[in-house]
Amino acid sequence: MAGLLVEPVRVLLADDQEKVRSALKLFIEQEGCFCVVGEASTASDLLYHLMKTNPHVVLLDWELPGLPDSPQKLSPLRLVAPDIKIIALSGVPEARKSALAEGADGFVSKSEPPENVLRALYFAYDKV
Amino acid sequence: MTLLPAELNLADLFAVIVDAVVACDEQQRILLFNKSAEQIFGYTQDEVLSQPLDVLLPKRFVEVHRRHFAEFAASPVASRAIGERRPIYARRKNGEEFPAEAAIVKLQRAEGRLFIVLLRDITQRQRIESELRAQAQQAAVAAERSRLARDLHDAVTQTLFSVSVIADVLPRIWERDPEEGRRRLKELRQLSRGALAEMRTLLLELRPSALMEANLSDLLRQLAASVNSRSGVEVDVHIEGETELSPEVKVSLYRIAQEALNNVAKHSNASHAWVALTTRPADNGAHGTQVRLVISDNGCGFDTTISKPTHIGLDIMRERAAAIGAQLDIRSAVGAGTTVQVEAVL
Repeated sequence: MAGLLVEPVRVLLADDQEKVRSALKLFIEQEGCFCVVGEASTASDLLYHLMKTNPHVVLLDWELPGLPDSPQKLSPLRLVAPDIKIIALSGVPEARKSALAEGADGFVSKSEPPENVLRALYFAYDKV
Repeated sequence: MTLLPAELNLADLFAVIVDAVVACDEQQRILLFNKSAEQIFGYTQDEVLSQPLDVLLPKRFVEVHRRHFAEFAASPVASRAIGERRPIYARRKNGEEFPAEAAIVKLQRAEGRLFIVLLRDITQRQRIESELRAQAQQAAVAAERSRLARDLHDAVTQTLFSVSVIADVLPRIWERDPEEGRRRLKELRQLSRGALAEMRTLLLELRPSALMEANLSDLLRQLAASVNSRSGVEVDVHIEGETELSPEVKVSLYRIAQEALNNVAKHSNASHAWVALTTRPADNGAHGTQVRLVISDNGCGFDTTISKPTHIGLDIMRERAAAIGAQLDIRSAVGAGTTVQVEAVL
């Protein structure tokens, strides 16, 4: 995790609900080593910010409006940013299996304790 | 007719029919009992020959069956279907009753009249039909449940997740910047109240009778808080007048407000919406109450002359209004917000 000392991990938030993005931003940036570089509320928003902000990690609402249906959900993201780490965040705990099978680097259900989001972020960043 | 043998052997024919065939004379004494009848009823032909038809019926139906049989015998009709509309019940040798459909035919013979009953055991069919009905019912319940689950996920889960994330980080924020801490605490309070409103709104969908019991102004305030929590649109509610409305009117007005605010949240891109309910005695000294419900927003509006699939909701609102004799008026223009107004004298 030596990279953390050099520059913060750039995180892009994608969730259709403003309150969720706002809470996540507050939460993640408290850590000091993460920096939210953009927020997207739709799939096309997400693609735009992916290209513009060059993030390391996307915290992606698995139910984000406008994404293709499974199992193609991540293909537009991979097309634009093949090396990006994707952490799927979902209100549906059962989505874990398909999210990981489709290539998400981590999965956190919205019913889990919030520190699991940080854990997933650290874990994904370790793999960068 | 030349194709048929001079004397058709009925017993040979009946032997291959899958339905039970029972022939009897005018006194209802059994004269013939085919193979299928033996299988269905559990008697051999020898056991029932010369016995009255009654042995094949539940005891409680014997009287009424005798009457029907006599009526049929006396009537000019040659055949009659039995149990088409609702099944009749027959009785097996072991006493077990089973549902059946039957037909009866009478033939005039030189020796007297012959009655032939064809009977089909429909136990299996009824079982399949009731299984299919149960499956359809379960599917409807499952569909409704998954809709509610989706709504719960879209609404309450998101809000509570935000609450839990902010609560987690709040102590550290407070240490560093108490002012920011207080702001976030206020946000927490709003979010948790919103989650409560969303949950109560969804509970109403699980128990629609609660809609009829509740007060319309309370319902509208709760709906507004719920829409605000879910979509972020500020919704002001203004209530004027305190007239009790009938349950049908209350439910219809609530549903119209719900549909209109759903449209605001989904399609309008509005930052603000207003709900106004006014009830007062009707003008001109007429009896009754004048009710007006107005839902408006500052969103993008739409061209009311163009019909879009998303406008189905508007038709539903119109139908609901018409059902209580109310007038529904929708005004909108691109870039100028939308106003839905329902008005009725009740």
